[in-house]
Amino acid sequence: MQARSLSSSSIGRWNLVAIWLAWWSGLAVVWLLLVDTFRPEELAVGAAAAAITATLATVVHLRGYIRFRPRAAWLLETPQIVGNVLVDCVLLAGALWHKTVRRERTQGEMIRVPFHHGDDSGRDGARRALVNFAVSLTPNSYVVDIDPEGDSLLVHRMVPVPLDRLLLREQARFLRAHPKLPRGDDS
Amino acid sequence: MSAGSIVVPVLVALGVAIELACCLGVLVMDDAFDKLHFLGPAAIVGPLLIAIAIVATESFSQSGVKALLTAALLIVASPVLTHATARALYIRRRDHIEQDPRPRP
Amino acid sequence: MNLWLIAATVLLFGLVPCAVVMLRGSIVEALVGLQMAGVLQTVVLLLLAQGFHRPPFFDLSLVLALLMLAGGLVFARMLERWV
Repeated sequence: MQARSLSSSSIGRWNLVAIWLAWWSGLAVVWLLLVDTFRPEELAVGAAAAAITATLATVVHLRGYIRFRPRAAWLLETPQIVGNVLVDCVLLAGALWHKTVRRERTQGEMIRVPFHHGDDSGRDGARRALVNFAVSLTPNSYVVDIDPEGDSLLVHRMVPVPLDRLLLREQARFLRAHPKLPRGDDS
Repeated sequence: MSAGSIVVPVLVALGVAIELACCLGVLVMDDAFDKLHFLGPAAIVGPLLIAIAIVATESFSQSGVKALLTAALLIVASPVLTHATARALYIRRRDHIEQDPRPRP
Repeated sequence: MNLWLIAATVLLFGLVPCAVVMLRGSIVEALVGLQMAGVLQTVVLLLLAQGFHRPPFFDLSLVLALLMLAGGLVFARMLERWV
């Protein structure tokens, strides 16, 4: 990823202020949660520490090392992901049962899921990162590799189950981006 | 016997059981890719249950908040570590630094 | 001895399978065992902090969780090509 020079950054001044304030607020809240006191000297040290870190984070944003612009609507996936985590725990328990008690051969599988890689924009970068995070969060599956040229995700899963809603949606996005490809199955 | 005096031991027992079951999973599964799956519940569900038990005991005091922060950190860290380790193993096998111990169909 | 300390003691037995994996497995399996041991120790520290009623001890588990993330990523990156 190429860094932008400080002078040619396309991030506006007010955007930089907003980024700095967002970082400062988040860090200050974490500081308050950790020290659990409102004594003036603690507040002053926390504010100063948060200011230094927020400045560093803003410089990193300015240089373009982080291109991460998620959509707030993606948070709506959270209940589905939480549900999948619980279901996957049961699936893994079943696999462990089959392996230890029934002494059956238990082996996971590697599958390739069509996945539109996109470009280097903040939106696509955030989508790749969060899809990777969400798939790897659920215990039955995790992302092994993202293939930019092949436009696919290599996913390992312990128990073969149908693709969840998130991966099906990414598969549909891939098909929209490649309308001329023949439509096959997902594995 | 109040609800709290039942809920907290149940949460702790469940958290401990999940952790130990995941340790067993890491031990008995044959392949590293399969072992990796058991890091998930160990880092997500187990610590969360124990953090909730601590909050149920201490409410949102410094102890409760820090327990929740620790659980949150583990929840965020687990998928990142799992993916990074899986990718390292995949690259090692693809580049023949390490052999796949089992033939795959 | 209270519930939290008993739970922490029981959890310590989970280190045995992690140690077996680290000693007998391949280098990546050893990393998986190490990560599992790290998670286990974080939870043990949480339980000990609560069992001893010492709020500052919770900082230990928080720091261990953070260091486990950083250390695990360093190991994984090194194992890709350099070890």
